[in-house]
Amino acid sequence: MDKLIVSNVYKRLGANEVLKGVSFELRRGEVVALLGPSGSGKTTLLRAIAGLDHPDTGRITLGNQTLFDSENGAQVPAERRNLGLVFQSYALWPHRTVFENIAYGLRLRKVPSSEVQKRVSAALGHMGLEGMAARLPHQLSGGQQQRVAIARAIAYNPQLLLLDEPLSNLDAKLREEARVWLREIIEQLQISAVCVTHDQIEALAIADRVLLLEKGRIEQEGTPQEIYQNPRTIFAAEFMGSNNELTGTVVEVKGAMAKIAGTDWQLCGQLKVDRRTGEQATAVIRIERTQTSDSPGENCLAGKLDAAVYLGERWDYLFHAGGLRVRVRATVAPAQKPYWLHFPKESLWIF
Amino acid sequence: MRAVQWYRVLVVLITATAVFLPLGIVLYQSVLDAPFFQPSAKLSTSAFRFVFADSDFHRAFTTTALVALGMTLVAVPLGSVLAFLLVRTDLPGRSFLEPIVLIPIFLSPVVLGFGYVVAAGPVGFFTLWTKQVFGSAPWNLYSLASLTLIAGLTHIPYVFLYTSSALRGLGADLEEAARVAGAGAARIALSVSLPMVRPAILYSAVLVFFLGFELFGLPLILGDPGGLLVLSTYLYKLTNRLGVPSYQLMAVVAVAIIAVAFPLVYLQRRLIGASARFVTVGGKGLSPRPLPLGGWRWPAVALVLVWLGVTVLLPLSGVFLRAFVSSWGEGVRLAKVLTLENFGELLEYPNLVRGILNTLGIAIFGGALAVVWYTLIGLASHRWQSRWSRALDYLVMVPRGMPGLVAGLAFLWVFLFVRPLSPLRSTLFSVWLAYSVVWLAYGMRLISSALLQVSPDLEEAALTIGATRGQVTREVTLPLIRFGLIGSWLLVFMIFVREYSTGVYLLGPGTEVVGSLIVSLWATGAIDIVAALSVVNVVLVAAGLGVALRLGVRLHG
Repeated sequence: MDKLIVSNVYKRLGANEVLKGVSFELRRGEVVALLGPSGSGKTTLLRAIAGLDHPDTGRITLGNQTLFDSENGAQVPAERRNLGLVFQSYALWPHRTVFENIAYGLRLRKVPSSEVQKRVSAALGHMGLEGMAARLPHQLSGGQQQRVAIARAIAYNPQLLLLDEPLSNLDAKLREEARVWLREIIEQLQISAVCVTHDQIEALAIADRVLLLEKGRIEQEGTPQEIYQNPRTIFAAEFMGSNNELTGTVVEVKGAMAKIAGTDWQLCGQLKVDRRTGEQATAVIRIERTQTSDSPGENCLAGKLDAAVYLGERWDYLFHAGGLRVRVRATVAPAQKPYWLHFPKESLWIF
Repeated sequence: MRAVQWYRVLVVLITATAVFLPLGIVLYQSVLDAPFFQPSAKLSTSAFRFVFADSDFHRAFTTTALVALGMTLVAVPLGSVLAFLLVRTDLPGRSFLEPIVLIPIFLSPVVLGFGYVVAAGPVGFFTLWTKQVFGSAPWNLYSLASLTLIAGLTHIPYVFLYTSSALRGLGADLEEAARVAGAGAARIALSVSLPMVRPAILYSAVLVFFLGFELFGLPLILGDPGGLLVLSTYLYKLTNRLGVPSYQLMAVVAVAIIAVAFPLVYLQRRLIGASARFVTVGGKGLSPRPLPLGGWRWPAVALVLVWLGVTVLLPLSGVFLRAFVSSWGEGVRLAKVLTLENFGELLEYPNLVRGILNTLGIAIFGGALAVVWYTLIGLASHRWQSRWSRALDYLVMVPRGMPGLVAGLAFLWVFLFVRPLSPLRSTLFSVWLAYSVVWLAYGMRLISSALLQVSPDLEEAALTIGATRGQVTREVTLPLIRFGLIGSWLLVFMIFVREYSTGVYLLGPGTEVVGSLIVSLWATGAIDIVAALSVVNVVLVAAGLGVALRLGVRLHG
């Protein structure tokens, strides 16, 4: 496939601006995740690329083909875009067998039937669905249905695969396996894909690049590591991971660092946005970066343990430090001793 | 895309013509002072003045309102209780009773009315038998009260339909919460279940009241001997009132009926939305745990059986008995008069044979054709967000405001008035068109509920894979709704067999159907033939019902 370029796509539904000028590019062989909470416009964007929804303004091109352009009214209908779309509900046709579901795209493209046979069998093989060809969709498990949906979408070698919350219908355990499997199959078949999800872990695991959407805008774009480790806005910081949040006032700014203070605490952290002394600010730190220690030190607060929750591979401790409530991950059982909470200053982000 | 749009607009226009042309002609005729085909006809309000000055019209209007109100008061409480018993409790035999409860909907009211006359009329079977045993029979079938009661009892299934489907949508946990709090079944029905489905009950009340204004078969047969006229029978009697065809007067009565019906149809439309919204408010988890009735189980079953006995068994047994006797009256012994001759007689009249064949044809092929038409309309508005499709939505509701009798009259005029159509007047096409338009709203409800089952994802999946709109319709949408379409066909079959009022004015050589033949033969007093035709009618409906139940078709849209 050639490059997918989405530029300045805008869509309004009634009084609601669903997409407020979104632009991004997708290079050959790349997987981009559109990540965002519900209502962020990610599904609308995916449907606009698929041709199932039409933006009000903007331009979508794939290689040298213009799929949509509000300037000259160009609009390639969904059926002529040659894309593959995996639906959240899988949308397997209940009246057709697995084989006929997968073969449909090939038949529409007038592929000779011996070739159809061969390619569907190959697709079934890739997906680990050997022997399922004659079954009807309702005779398959959820995980198998999802694989059929993917096989159906890639059987005719579309230029681009679109995935709409592909894992959300699987139960937690299966989802974990499917995540790994999906990344594997995408790499194996060298598919270019756009994947919509509200699940950050899914996005981080599957994508080469993550586009974080919020209220119809791209909040931040980057590799999974960049998005997780270096959020540029408070929304990005809060949306990813589990966090402790401390609100206070900026009391000192020194280059890229700042001091934030509440009534009975003061901490030093990285300043992520432009803030001056005396302004209200929020400090965010990932739970797994917050540490406990036995003795006071730099950027430490005395904490009182309120509760400890055992979660199998770890413990979640809940402290309060003055008026603050702080969660910490731990690997050992709690003890009867004074705790200090350490907020490493390179991990404490001040917004 | 272009072709798709053209198809859709074309469907809207054809449907609009079929709906508005008859309506327009009725309105037009009502403001003329003579039949529209007379060159001397001028615009005038004389027909309105004449009808509104007629004391019979006033009496008919009052009687109609009384009957409609009375039957609503009978049908709504009983229908709601029946729905609660069958849907929510452990009533013995409820799965068996459920389809049976709906039978009165599919029975022709003329057949039922006739059945009541021969079973419980002054010389009916049961009246005479009761007299033999007790010396007298304490009822008068030809009173306003009897008419109202019978109309109410036969309309209970409509209340049952809407209330039961709303009750099914209620979470069982809401009732279980009341049980845990200490309420018994009756208490739960009155304080939780039925109040929760109040919008559905209100809707069915308006529906039954509306159907009361449309009543024709029952008052024609039960009201006549006692001199009771309702609007529709007044219209029917008007036909020959002045000696010359008094079209303008008939049109005025038709307009009066339409003027009452339209607001009621509109009200129903507003209410149906509200009732659907309410149901989704129900609790979680639809575990169909029935409430135990305890000691009330058997009295409750008895109540249901008594109702079925009076509404189905009594009239039908009358019809069947009468069809197999040569004569009946005081002092006649049943065993001596048993005969099959009535059916032999049917075959001697070519118009009766034609009527039976026509009924079969219009129900089987006409029904299929009507379903095709409804499907084309359904597909045209399917996934179509536009002002046109909303217009279509209202358009299909319009014929509901025209009762069958009025619509039949209007279509007669359409075929007289529109020159290119007049050769078709004496063919079954005229009857088919009138039937299809009269049942348009009903049919569309069947089709759209089938189309609603198709998730948009399934169609969009085919689109993104590369299928055109036409291919999506043929290869995804239609195959997915095929069972729904077969079910609709069966239901339309039964409705078309049952239909009688729409064919009354279109009746002529070549357009006979069983329903309208019964109406016209009843007036001539040919009881033997009416009985035999009624049996034929019931048997055809029963055949359709049997197949539908066998295939597991839901008896409502």
